[in-house]
Amino acid sequence: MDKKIGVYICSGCGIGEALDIDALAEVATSEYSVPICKNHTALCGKEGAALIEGDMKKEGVNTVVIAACSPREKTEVFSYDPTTISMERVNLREHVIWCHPPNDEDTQMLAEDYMRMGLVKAEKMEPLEPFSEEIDRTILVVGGGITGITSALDAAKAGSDVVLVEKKQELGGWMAKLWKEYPKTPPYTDIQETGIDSMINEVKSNTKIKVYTGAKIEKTEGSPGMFDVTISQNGSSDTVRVGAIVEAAGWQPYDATKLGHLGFGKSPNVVTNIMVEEMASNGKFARPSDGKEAKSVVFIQCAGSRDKDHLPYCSSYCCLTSLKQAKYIRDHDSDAKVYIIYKDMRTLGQNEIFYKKVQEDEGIFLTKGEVVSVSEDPGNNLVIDVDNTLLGEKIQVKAEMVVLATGMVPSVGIKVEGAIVGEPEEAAEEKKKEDEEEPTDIIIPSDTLNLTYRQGPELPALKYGFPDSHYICFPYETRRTGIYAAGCGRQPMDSAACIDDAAGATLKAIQCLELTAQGKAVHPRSWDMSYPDLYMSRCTQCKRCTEECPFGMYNEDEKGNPLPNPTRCRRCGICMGSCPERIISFKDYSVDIIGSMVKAIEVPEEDEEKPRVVAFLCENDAYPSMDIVGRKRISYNPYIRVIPLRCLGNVNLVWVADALSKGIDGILLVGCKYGDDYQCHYIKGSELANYRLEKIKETLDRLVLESERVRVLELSIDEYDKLPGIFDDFMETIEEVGPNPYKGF
Amino acid sequence: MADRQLIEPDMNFVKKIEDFGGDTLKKCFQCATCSVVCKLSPENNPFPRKEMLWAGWGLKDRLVTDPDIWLCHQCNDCSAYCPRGAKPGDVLAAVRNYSFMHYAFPSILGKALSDSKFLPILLGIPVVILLFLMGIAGHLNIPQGEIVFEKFVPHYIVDPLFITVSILMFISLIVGVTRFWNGMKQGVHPSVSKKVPVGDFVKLHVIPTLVDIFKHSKFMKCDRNRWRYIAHLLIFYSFIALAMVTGIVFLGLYFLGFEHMLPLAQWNPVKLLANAGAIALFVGCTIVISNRLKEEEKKSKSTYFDWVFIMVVYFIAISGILTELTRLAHLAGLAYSLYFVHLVLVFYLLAYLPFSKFAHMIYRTVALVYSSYSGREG
Repeated sequence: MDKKIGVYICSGCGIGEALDIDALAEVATSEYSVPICKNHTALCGKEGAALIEGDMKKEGVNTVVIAACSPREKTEVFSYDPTTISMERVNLREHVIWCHPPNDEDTQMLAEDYMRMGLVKAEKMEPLEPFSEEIDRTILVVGGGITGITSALDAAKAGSDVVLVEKKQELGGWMAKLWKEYPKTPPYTDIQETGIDSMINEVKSNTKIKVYTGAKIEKTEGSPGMFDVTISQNGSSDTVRVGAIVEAAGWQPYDATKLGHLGFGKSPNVVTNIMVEEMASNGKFARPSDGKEAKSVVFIQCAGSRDKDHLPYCSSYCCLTSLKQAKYIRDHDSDAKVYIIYKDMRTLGQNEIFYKKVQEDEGIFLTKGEVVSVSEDPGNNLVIDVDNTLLGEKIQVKAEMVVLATGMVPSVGIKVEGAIVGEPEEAAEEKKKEDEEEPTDIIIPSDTLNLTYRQGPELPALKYGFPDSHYICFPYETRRTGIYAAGCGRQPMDSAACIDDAAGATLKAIQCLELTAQGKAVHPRSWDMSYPDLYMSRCTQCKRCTEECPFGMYNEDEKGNPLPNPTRCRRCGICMGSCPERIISFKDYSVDIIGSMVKAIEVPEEDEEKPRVVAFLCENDAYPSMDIVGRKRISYNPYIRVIPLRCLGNVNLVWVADALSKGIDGILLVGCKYGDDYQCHYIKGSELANYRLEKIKETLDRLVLESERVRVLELSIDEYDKLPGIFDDFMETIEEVGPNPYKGF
Repeated sequence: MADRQLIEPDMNFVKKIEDFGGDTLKKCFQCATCSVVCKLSPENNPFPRKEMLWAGWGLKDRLVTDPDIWLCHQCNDCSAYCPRGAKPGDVLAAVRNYSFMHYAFPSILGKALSDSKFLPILLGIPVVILLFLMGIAGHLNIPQGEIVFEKFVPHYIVDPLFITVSILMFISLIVGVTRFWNGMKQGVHPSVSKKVPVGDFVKLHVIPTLVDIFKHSKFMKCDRNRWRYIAHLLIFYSFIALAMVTGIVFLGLYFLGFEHMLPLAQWNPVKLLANAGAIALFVGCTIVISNRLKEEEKKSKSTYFDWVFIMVVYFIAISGILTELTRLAHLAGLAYSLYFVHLVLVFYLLAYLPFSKFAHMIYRTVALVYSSYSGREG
C-alpha cells in the first residue's frame, strides 16, 4: 500500500502566536513534498479530529504527522488503528514554545527540525502486523500453598481453566502446618483458625481446577499463550498446554543448623518457630531434652535474619508469629513466663493491634536487645546473655526453652544440589567486578519450572534469590513474560499478604493472556503491536541479542541463530541496540528510522555559532520529565534536539557515528537509574547502554574526537527539574570542546 | 561478667501494680516520650521510661529502692502525651502506693490499709478504745450545760491515748524510712560512699529540700493541672496550721497552766488560725475530690488506697467544722457526737500514717533528700 502522508499543525495553546506556522508547513510541503498539510487552531477539538479523519477517508491519508502537543497528551483523540494508520507526533508545545522565547530564530529552527525528524520517521514507518497465533488460556499455578490455592481459586472464579501443581502429596503448604494464625480479620486481637482446610476442599471440588499433587514440572517450553509443560506424577508424565504461569513456589525456613551461635544443635531445648507449631498442635510445650513442660521460654527474633552473615533481609512474619506463639504458651499455662528479645518489633498492617494486646499479658516480657550467647547450665536450663537492651544494661535471663524465630528463604532461591543461598549472586557479582563484563543475570537452578529458555532454567533473581523484577513499579512481573511470581517466593510475607498477592499475580496472568490474544505486548508497552523482525540472512550468530534480552525472548539453534518468541517480547528494543549488524527492527521503530531522524537535523555552519546536540531520552522517565519542564515553563538551551527512545538500551552505536559524521557537536543520553535500586522499565537497558557507550568512548578517542562529546546520564522523573541544568551543563562542555571538526563535510 | 544482671521477673508484682491503679503499665513500648515531656525528670537516667520497663518486667527490687518514683509529682504530662495510653503517671503512683506497703512495719497493717474489707476494723479500733476509756472514766453520757468537750472526753483520756499512738507511729515510720534509705543506698542510684558531716548534710541537702517542699516549687512545674497544685498547697499549709494549733494548745494546757483555756474565744489568734486551717483543708479536699471525679470520667484510675485517704481527710475537715458550728449553735447532742467522729478519724489518720498515703510526705521528703545527697538532681 502506498504511503500518503498528511501533516496537521495545531496552532492552539499559543503555538500559532509563537511560531511561524507557514514556514513550518513549508518544511513539510517543500522539503518533504508532503501532499497534505493543514493547520487548525484546535486539532484536539471535534472539528480538528474530524479534519484528520476526513482526510483519511476521502484523501486516503494513511500516515499522519500531528505537530501539536506532547505525544503523551490527548492520546484519546489521536488514536488510530496501527494496522492501517501510522502516526507520528511532533511535540511543538511542551518541547518548543513553552520553553523557548516566541518568534525567535532559534525557536523556529527547533520547531522546524522537530518537523523534519517527525516527517522522516513517518516516511519510514510501516503499519503494524500483530503477531497472532492460537493461544491457550489455561493458567498453570505452581505451588499448592496458600498463595497457589488462592491463585487457582481466583483464576477459576474469573473463568480460567487452571492446572495446579504441588510437589508434596497434600495441598496446603506451610499453612496446613500451623496450629493457629495471628489475627487476619478485625478486631485483630485474637488468634484465629487458619481456614486452610476449607480452601483445600474448595480447590478439590472445583471442576475448573486440575490438581497434580506429589508432582514435579520436568520441563516448560514455549512462550505466553503457548507454554507446553511436562508434569511428572507417580512415574508417569503429562504434557499440558497453558497460556500463563503463576509461580507460587513458596519458601523454606532458614536452615537453623547454621545458627549454632544461638545454641541450635548444641542444646535440644533450642528449637525453631516451626517446631513450636508442632508442639502447639500436640497441646504440650514440652522441652525436647526431658519432655517437661517449659515454664519459661525465650523467643529470639531475627534469628539468622537481618544479619549480614545469614539472611540480610526481614521476613516480616516472624515478629507476629512469636507474639502468637507467646500467647499459645501463656494461654496454655498461666504461670509460664515468656520473653521476646527483638531487634525491632515489626508488626505489619493492622497487627499493631495484636501486638498491643499481647503486650498487656503480665507474663510476656519484651525487650529490644542483641543476643550475645545461649548456653546451657548443668540442669539443662538455658542461659541467655543479651546486650543493648531497653533496660540500658547487659542482662541475663534463664529459660527452659529457647525459640529461634527463623526467616524465609524462597524455594526458588535454593539451588537443588544444596548450594548456599546467595552464593550464585555473589559469585556473579564477583565475576562482574573482576571482568568488568556486562551485567549478568542470576538464575538459580531450583528445579521449579525447568524452562527450556536459552538464558537458563528458572526466573532470574532480583535480590536474595527472589525473582521479583521490581516490586514497586511492576509487582508480580518477573523477567519472564507470562510468568508471574506471587507469595513468599516473590518476597517474604504473611498469609494475608499472600492472598492479596495471589489475586494480583492471577490478574496479571489473565491480563497477559488477553493482551497476547490481541497481539499486544504486556507491561509496560501494553498497547504495542509491534515486535522485532530479524533480517536473518545478515545474522552473524554473535549471540548478543540472545544474551542481552532481559526477558529471555530469544532461544537459539545449534548454530547460534536467534529464534524469536514474539509473545515473550516486551518490545523494549534492547536487542535492536545490541545488534552490531543492525538486523533487528520494528515496523515503526528501527535503527534506520532513528538514524534518519538524526540525519534530518539541520546543522548550521560552524561560523554561525549555533551548535547542535542530539539528546536521546528514555520515554519512561526522561521524556516525561521534559514534558514537565515544559509545563513548568522552564527555559533551556535551544540547540538541543530530543529523540525519544523506548529504552536507552535501544541506542545503537551507529547513531552516534551518524550524528558525529553529520556535524552534530554532542550526544546526550538520558536513561533511568540503574544499579541496586534500578528504575529501568526493562531492568537493565540503561545499564547496558552505559556499558556499550563506555566502549564507544574508546573508539572516539581513537578517532581524535573528544569523548566528552558523548555523555550518558541517569534521571528519575522526580528529578525533572535537573533536566535544564543537565542540558546547560552539557552545552558548556561542548562549547569548551569546540565545534565538531566533521561539521560541513 | 559482673556487669551483666540476671533478670528474674516477678509476675505477681506486675499484677499487684496493676491492682494498685497501674493497670496500663504493660502498654508501654519504651518510646520515652514520657521522659522527654517530664519537667521534673533529671537529664541523666531520666524517669519514668525506665520505671515503666521495670514495672512491666516485674523488677520489684529496683522500683522500691528507686528515689525517682518520688521525684514524680504526678502532673500526668507523661500520661497525656503517651502514644500507647500506658499512663506512666498512674503507674508511678501505683508503685509508690506499693512502696508504703512494702516498707510498712508491721507489714500486716500495710496490707490492711490497702484493702477495703479491713476498713470497718480499722475504724472500729479507735471507736472501741475511746468507748472503753470513756466507760472506765464514767463519761458515757451527753454532758449538760455549756458545751465543753473536755466534759465529754477528758484530756487525761485523749492526750495519753494520742501521745501513745504517735510514739508507736513514729517508731513504725522510723523503721520503714530506715529500710527505705538503706534500700536506696544499694539501689539503682547508689550514693557516693564518702561520709558527709551531719551539719553539711543538713545544710546542703535537708534544708534546700524542705525549702523546695514549702515553696511547692517542684509541683509548680507541672502546668498540666494547676488546680492540683493549688489544692495540694492548701492542704499542705492547712495541716501545718492545724499542727501549730494543736502544738500551741498542748503547750498551753500542760506547760503554761491554762487548764481551762478551751474552748478558745473566736477572736483568739490561735482560734483564727485553726478556723483558717479548717477551711483551707475543706477547700483543698473539695478541689482534689472534684478533680478526681473528673479524672474518673476519663478513666484515670484512682484506687481505693487513694480514695480512702482523701475521704478520711475530707471528713476530718467536715466533722471538725461541724463540731465547731454545732457547739456554737448549742446543739449539745450533735456537737458531742460529731466530736467523737472527729476523734475517731483523727486517730485513723495519725495511727495509720506510716501505712497510708499520708506517709508520702515522709517518703517523698526522704527520697528528695536522698536524690540531692546522691547528686541525682545535679
